[in-house]
Amino acid sequence: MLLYSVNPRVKLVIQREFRGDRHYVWCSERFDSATAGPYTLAALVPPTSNPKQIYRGLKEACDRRDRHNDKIISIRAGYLTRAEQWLAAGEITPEARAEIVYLVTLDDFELWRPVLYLIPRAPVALRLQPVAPEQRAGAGPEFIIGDLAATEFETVEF
Amino acid sequence: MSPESFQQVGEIPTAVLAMLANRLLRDPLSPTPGPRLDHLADSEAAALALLQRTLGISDQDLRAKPEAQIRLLGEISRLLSQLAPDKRQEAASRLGYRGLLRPTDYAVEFVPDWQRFEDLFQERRASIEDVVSTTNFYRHLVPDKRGVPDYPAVTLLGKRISSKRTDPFVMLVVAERLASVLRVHSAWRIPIDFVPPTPDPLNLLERFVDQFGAFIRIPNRPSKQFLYYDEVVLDGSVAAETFPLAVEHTDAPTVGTAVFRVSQNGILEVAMAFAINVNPYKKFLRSLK
Repeated sequence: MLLYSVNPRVKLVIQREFRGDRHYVWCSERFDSATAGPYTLAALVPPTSNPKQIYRGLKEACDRRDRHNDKIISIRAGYLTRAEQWLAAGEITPEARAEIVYLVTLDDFELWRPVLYLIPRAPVALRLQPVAPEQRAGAGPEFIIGDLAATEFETVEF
Repeated sequence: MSPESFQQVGEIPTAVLAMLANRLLRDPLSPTPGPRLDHLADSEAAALALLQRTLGISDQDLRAKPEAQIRLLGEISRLLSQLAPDKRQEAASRLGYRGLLRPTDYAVEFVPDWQRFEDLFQERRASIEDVVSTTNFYRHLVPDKRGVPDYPAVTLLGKRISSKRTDPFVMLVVAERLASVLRVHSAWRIPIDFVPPTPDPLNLLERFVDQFGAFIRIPNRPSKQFLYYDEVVLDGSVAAETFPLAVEHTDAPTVGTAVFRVSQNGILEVAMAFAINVNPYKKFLRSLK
């Protein structure tokens, strides 16, 4: 069984280059919750958390070169914030912090193109953290993996 | 500076901005829905108030409207992403060397003896610059020893060329990555029948060298057509300056491409090296007309 997560390329690059190739992902049990059986929990994952919709949204934002896309703004803010926190915690150097800032603010929509992560569930099952119900857009299950190794997933772009 | 003294958003410390952004971003494990804006530290409260005033965002909108939260996040991002021009350029140089930028983010220059290459094969600088800026596919080749400072690095860039004046081919550019500069060493017209639908530039180049390349003499090792991220111990029989023009068993003219350096302990650190037999390649070029 697979888990699915959609992230922009820049996230893949930053986690690989600056976080020891360990990846923080938010994932679901279905790529497209609309295809889940009507009486399953997976069918209750709404569009805003549905990997297929996230993929489509990022792809369309990149095709349109939409600088004001909410997802891109949030992820950019997230990395700018984490870069400060990592620097303050001594986990990265000031140079690495500058590189992260450069990457996430570069006028390069190729870096924001979506990448689908395919994560075999069994090896990570014990590390799955359920997303708090208050943070989910719907009732369907969503998970966090905070330290996914590069060998634990494959990436697909289409 | 006391928190209440923030007069302009530019005065807000980055640590405070980061704490505020963190409260606005979704925390998947938090039981609190929406932004977590209760129990702010004095400095956070002062910064938030100033930011809200500047952007014209009310408390009610900030708590209830996602678009207001996104606007505030956008402004905090703008403030957190301020880099002095020299720091920005230094970051670009480091990222460029590591092959993390797209081709158009690099400046393009040519090796000092490029004119010789141009005279021999009639490849113009402007055409090569066009391949770099409008490449169809490229690959930044990353050395295994990525932690070693200044280890030579190569980028390959390809572009399909078709025009009424010539048969179609792929122009493949071999460039050395020097910080945020791509220094072009050579550019080759690859026969179109070598090119699969989704080409990998390294595979293309290897196939091209297999077809048109000469064998390079390597000290203490069998000769080879193609060296790629390799290290050669120099024993004096091959001078680093002539590498890779020391070609086996041929008096025919060749043109070499070599991206390398000699380390302090006398090791030839090679990013890429090959030599092309001029006559067969020129015969192929004539066949394209």
